[in-house]
Amino acid sequence: MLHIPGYYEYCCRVNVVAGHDGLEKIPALLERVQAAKPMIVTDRGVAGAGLIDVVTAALGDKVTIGGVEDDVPQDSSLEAVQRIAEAYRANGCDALIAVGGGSVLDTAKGANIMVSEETDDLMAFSGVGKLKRRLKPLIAIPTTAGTGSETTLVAVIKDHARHQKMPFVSYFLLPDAAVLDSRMTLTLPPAITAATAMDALTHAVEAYTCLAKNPLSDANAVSAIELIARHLMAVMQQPDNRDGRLALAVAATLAGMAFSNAMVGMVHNIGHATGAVCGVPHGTCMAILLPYGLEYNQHRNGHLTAELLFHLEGPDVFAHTPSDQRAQKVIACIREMNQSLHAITQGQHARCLRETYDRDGNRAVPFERLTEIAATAKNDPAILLNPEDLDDEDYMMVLEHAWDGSPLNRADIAGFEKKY
Amino acid sequence: MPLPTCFEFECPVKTHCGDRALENIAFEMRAMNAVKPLIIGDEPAAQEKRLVPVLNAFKNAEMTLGVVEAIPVEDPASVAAQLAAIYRDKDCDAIVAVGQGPFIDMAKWLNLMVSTGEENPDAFIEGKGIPRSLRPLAVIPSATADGLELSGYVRLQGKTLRSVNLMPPLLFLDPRSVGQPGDVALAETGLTALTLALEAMFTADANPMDVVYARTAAKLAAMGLNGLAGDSEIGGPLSLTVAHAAALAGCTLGAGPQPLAFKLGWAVAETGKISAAQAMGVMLSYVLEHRLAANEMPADMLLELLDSAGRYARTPEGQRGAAGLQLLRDLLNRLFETTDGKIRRTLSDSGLSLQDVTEATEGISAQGKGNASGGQETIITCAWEGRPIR
Repeated sequence: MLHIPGYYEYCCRVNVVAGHDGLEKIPALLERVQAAKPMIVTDRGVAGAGLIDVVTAALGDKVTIGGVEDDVPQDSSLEAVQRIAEAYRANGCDALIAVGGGSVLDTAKGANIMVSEETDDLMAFSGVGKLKRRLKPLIAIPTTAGTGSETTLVAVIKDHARHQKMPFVSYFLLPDAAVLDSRMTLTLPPAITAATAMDALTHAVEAYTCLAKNPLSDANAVSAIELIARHLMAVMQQPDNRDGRLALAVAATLAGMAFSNAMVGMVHNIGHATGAVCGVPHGTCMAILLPYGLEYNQHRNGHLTAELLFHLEGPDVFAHTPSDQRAQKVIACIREMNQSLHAITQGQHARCLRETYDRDGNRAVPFERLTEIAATAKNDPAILLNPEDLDDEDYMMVLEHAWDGSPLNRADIAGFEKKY
Repeated sequence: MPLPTCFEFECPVKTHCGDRALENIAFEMRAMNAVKPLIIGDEPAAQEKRLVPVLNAFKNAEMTLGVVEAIPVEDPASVAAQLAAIYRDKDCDAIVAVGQGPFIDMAKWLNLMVSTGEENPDAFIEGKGIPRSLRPLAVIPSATADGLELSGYVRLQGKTLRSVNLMPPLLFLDPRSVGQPGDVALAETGLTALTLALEAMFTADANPMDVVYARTAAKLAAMGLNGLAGDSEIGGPLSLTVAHAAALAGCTLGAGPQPLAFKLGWAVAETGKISAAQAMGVMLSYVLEHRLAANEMPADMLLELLDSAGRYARTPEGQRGAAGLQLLRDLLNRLFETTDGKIRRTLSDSGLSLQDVTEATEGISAQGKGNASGGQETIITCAWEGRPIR
């Protein structure tokens, strides 16, 4: 069904190139933006996995690479941005190719501001709409299929000296092109494949069910959901399934376009807090919390959740499920997906917060820290477009159930009876 | 639909749609570093006072505006040259175009002229590159659209330029600016949008990002046309719904090759007996029927697009394709009825002979995205008679 709000905006100006040989299109993309000497920006993990070699081999002798900066930290930092900008200038580069995830892309965006604006004062461009002209060409090559960061117009750079995170928001920060190539995700470990795909699924589902939805973001979302539903388990069973890998990469970008234009809700809100307090990877938080977000909001947006059954499970299941049970069926399907992913990854894919562990093998989310997560979540802006409010008790109820993996008892939602 | 193993997608258009959409125009101009826009409107926009809300939206923007109203489109090259002189003389830095069809072609050409300094369209036809960074162009279309307003096409005196860089970066759809055309004009806009959208969806190499626009445009067009055909469940202002569909259909086309029914429609319109929109509306179901059979593509999703997921799911798998095509034909039949025959069901309804249609479409190549080769004669014959191919 088409849902048309009273007013909406939609924009995704990124040129998307997708394919098993997507990387080979980069010389043509660079030529189109009149660039000939790009600098490659990445992190140690991506370089160590041999993916930069794949990229440079695909570029062949058609492009002169102006340098490879492979030391982007896990949280993008001002120091890294400055170092890359200096190297860019010293090497006479004229474009940037970011190969990696959100931090790499944010760092490349920061460096791009410095070299395009010919400034050493990045801070002067922090905020919304400070950039007034096109920057140097930037090509994003995602190496996971989840974040969708290649479609966003935001960069966050951390100034460690001042203990500040500097946000930059501008349409000029959108990459000129995003190249989705199955080779970039072919060797992703199963648990990361699972978590990143569930991250993308969450982007799509929250974009479809939360308050800033629009008809184009809805179409992005349902396409992403269909691709993930059709290909995730096949890729988990057969990790070198190139078509499946490409489909998941395309789904992640579609989901990125959806949430960039429709925003997200309580799943991201609580997930951000869980990541900040306990260091649980974002995709893992999304996978665990998604069914709880849908369950909690069901009295508000159950009709929207119900519509997703058609895309998640196909027309036959949709037709055979009574309309008043479709939302619940969607939630059950997502829990079944988590269960299957848990089994395929031999327990690495957590089904609940209690099953998450840190690098030392300790429980990542001790039950005692749920209060701290709830308090952090209350200040996270992702809640603004959630269909239902959450008070302290609501946060704790959701977190406690997500911790032990039990479904929500909807009668427990604070004020539920009073409100409805 | 299967995922192609290689594709490219680009849509530089930012859409603003709905109540008070125009109030965002000054902000968007400023975000693109523009503070002296030249606002131009065509004759229908002037007659219907559709420039008024646009100018009001700039009231507190502290921008210097150039305004030229009631611009004729009979000699677009000459008009564009005159407007370019005004643009340069007044030191403008962006264009806001309020209008439809050929007027928007002229506005895109004007933008190319003032952005590049090139005044000869042949230079671009002969291979001169159309740069990515043209001046900001905002398009405010009406509900009497020809579907190409938001595309990367510019038609100028029999010549055609096309590039994704010609797609306007800003689109504003506001109930105050789309106008209130009559049912026939509105139906024609809806049929054009439906043609572009469905042809884009039902191609062998449709990619999921094109499908996002095509799917949305198709559903909007179906919603608008069903509303015109008397479906009481239609929501929202009809003109806005149809204008919305046409704008997104243009985004779907982008700078890609024009699809078959669209081209055939324009060719048949040359006879002067039927509008391009009506001719393509008639031919759409036959083109799709032929293409779906030739490419062995399922037509099933037509049912979901034109009606609902529920209707799709309730219909047995083997009957969905035929039911979808029938829905398309039923829609045209209902429009015929509610417009007292002004919207044609068949090409013969327009008084054209089969020979007229055949001659008019002789030069049209079936080659192009998703077009099945051959079968054109069958399509035209069946569309003329109003008889399904199978």
